[in-house]
Amino acid sequence: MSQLDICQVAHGYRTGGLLRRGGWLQVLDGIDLTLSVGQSVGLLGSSGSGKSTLARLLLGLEKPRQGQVRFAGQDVSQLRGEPAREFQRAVQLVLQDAPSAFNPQRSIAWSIAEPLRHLSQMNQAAQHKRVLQLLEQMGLRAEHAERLPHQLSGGQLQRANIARALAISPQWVVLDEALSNLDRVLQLQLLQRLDALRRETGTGFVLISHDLSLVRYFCQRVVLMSEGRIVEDRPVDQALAFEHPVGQQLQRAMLPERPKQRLPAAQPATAQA
Amino acid sequence: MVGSILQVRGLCIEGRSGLLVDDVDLQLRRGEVCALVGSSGSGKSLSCLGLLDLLPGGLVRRQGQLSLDGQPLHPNQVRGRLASLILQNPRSAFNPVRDMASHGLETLKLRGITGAAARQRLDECLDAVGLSERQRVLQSFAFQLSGGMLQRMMIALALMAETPFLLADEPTSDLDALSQARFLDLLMQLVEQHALGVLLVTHDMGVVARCADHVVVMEAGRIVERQSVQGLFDSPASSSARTLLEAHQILGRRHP
Repeated sequence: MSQLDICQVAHGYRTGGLLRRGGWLQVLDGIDLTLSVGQSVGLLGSSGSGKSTLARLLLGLEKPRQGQVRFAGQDVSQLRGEPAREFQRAVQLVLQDAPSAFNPQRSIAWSIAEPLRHLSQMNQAAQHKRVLQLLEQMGLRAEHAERLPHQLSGGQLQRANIARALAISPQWVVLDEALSNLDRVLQLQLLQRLDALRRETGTGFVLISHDLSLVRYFCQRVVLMSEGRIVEDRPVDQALAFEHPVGQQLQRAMLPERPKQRLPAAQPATAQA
Repeated sequence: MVGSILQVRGLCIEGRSGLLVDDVDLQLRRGEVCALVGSSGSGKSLSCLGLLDLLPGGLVRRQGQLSLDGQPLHPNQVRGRLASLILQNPRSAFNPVRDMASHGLETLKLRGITGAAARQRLDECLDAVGLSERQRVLQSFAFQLSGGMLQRMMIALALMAETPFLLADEPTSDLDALSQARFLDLLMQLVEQHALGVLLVTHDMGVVARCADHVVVMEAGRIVERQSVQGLFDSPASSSARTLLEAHQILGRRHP
């Protein structure tokens, strides 16, 4: 089992478009993070804090401007051939928008088997068996395998999406807001399944979210980001009280567990808007 | 004088596969929030759209009488005049080639407000929803603003239309936690100060706990439960409500 390290990473993008050359937008700065196998880490922060950019770097989809992402001690951007494939087998990504993550003309089974075709030596029969096993693991049925993406509901499709990420038995799965579009009931079911998987196989998860309750339920460690920096990194414990103002703000924004006892409703106001 | 109870009775919506919404009665009172909850596919969004007769193609509204304080109404009289609609994805609700100012001015023009008066009303409404960088927002196109800002702009447009009722279909599902909290604060402020009557479609019991006075639970196109919000949290009767509440409570609790 290897380790995934982010060392002194800084990254940004040039703004503006084709016609106008804009300035430089610093998205990440001075990021140091080590992911250990078998652990679920919550990456928490509000929109624009750099969470998704960090995910892209973790997967090696982009090369950081400064610093390195290291897999088993090797700079990810330098990997070629078999070591690169090994890295691809180790880290998988699930994005929020499931419909756009599937080929609309191919069956669910075809899509889920895609990483198996490219990254494993499995023959077709073994691939099919693995697909059925994955579907079951995610609470879907064998009959879903031959359907097309638009024949599944949003929740079912996102489960198929996660099944595909798990196909190659990666060491880490990055869930970039992958549960945000699902209702609470489905979120809970999925987190329970993924947690069971983590305990069985040691798959680590990076849960990118702005929802504190999901992180608190699922993760052992939480990393808080703000304006492109890691501002707090702490274990998830009973209290989970943040020191940084951004964390406290997120805590305050949590919705109540129960309705407030309200005063007997005042006479409905007749005042005009 | 604007009425205070907007009601739909016996709403039925039919699709190719049969009845999708079956005999739904809903009542909105000014100054109160009625939450419509249920799992995905239970027909809550359709009921919301069907109320205004804004159904997507292939679906037909079979029945459903709208009334205001007992006076029957046609959906045309309700849409944009009595009730505004906010949907989950605000980005797709704006015309991509028009800026925010032109959306606002169009809404105001329909109410007969133009020129300097319109500009002033525009400013007031943006202030009311907490869009502070007014000039930048007004000159922006939808793709240049965040989801939270667009959703507040939607509310600002509803304010400009001065509709006494608001239908909101999952208004915060696409927003991050902070934007969601801000949006709900604003919504409740309008309910209290302007006696806005709201139908809030959601599957998040946290949103229900934060905002609702009454809760209506839907299951497979039918209403299976109606309760006060306290009643629902104390003793949910339907299995849908119990399942939703249970998930909400487990996720809301401290780490197991």
